[in-house]
Amino acid sequence: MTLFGKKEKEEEASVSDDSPAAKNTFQLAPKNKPKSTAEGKTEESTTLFGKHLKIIGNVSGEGNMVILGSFEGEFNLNGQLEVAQGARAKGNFNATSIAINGNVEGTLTATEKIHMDNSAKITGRIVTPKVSILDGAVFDGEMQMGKRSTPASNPTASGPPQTATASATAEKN
Amino acid sequence: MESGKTSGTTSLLSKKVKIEGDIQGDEDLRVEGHFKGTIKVVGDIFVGQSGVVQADIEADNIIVQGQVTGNVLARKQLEIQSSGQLLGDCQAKSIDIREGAIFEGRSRMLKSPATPPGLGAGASISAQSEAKPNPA
Repeated sequence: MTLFGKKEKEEEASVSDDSPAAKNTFQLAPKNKPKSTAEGKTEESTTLFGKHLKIIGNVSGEGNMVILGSFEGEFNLNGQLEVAQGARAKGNFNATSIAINGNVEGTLTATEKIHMDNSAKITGRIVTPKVSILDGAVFDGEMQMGKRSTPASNPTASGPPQTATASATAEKN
Repeated sequence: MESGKTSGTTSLLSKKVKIEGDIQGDEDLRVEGHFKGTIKVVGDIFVGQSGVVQADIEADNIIVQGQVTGNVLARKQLEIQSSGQLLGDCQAKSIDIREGAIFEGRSRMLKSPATPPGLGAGASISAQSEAKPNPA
C-alpha cells in the first residue's frame, strides 16, 4: 500500500513536472504563430529587400539585412549584410560582416569578416580582417586584409594584431 | 488585403534602419524604420507604428500606422489607422481613416477603371501592373 501510495505521489510529481513544460510550450506557441500574419514581429531586426524590389539610395542603421533584389548606393550597417543568390548590388558597402551569394560591384568593407558563397560574383575591392571564399565564387579585384595605410587608423586600439581584435573593436562600436 | 500576389514575400525595412533613395518593384513592403525618397510598387505598403516615411508613395494598398509625409496614391485602398498620420495629398479608390488618425491634405478619389492622372501616368511600373483595362 505504501508503495502504491508512493507511486501515486511520484505520478503526481511527474504530472506537476510536466505542466510547467506544457505551459512553456504553450507560451512559446503564440510567439511563433504571428509569423504567418505579421512576419515583421519575429524578424524585426532583419531588414529584407525582396526579389522584386529595386532600391537606389543610401542605407544606414543597425541590424541585419538581406538583399534579394537589386540595390545601388551607399551602405552603412552596424550588423550583418547578406546578398543572396540572384541579387545584384552596386556601390560601397560597410558592415560588421558580409555574406555574398549574388553579384556585387564596388567596395566591400567588413569589420569582422566576409564570406563569399559558391555563386558569388564580386567585382571590386574588399577590406576585411577575415575572409572565406567557397569553390565557384568569382572575385575580380583587390583584397586588403591588413591595416595598411588606412586613413581611419584608430589610435586607441594599439594592441597586437590578434584574431580577437575584430570582435573587440566590434564590441567597442 | 488578401489580394493574390505574384511574389509571396514581404520586404521589410526594420526599425533601426534609415534609407534615403528610391524603391521600385512589385512586392509588398513594410516600413518600420525611416525612409526618405520615393516608393513606387505594385503591391502593398504598410507603414508600421515606428515607421517614418517622407516620400511620395504609389502602391495598391497603403496602410499607415506611423507617420507619412508626402503625396500618396493608392490604386486600391488607403487606410490610415488610429495611430497613423498622413501629411500630404492622397489619391485613392477607397479611403479608410480611423478615429484618432491625423490627415492633413487634399483627398481625391480615383474612379474605378481610370488610370490615375499625374502620379501614375508616367510610371514604368504601371505597365507591369495587372492589365488595367483602358477606358474606351
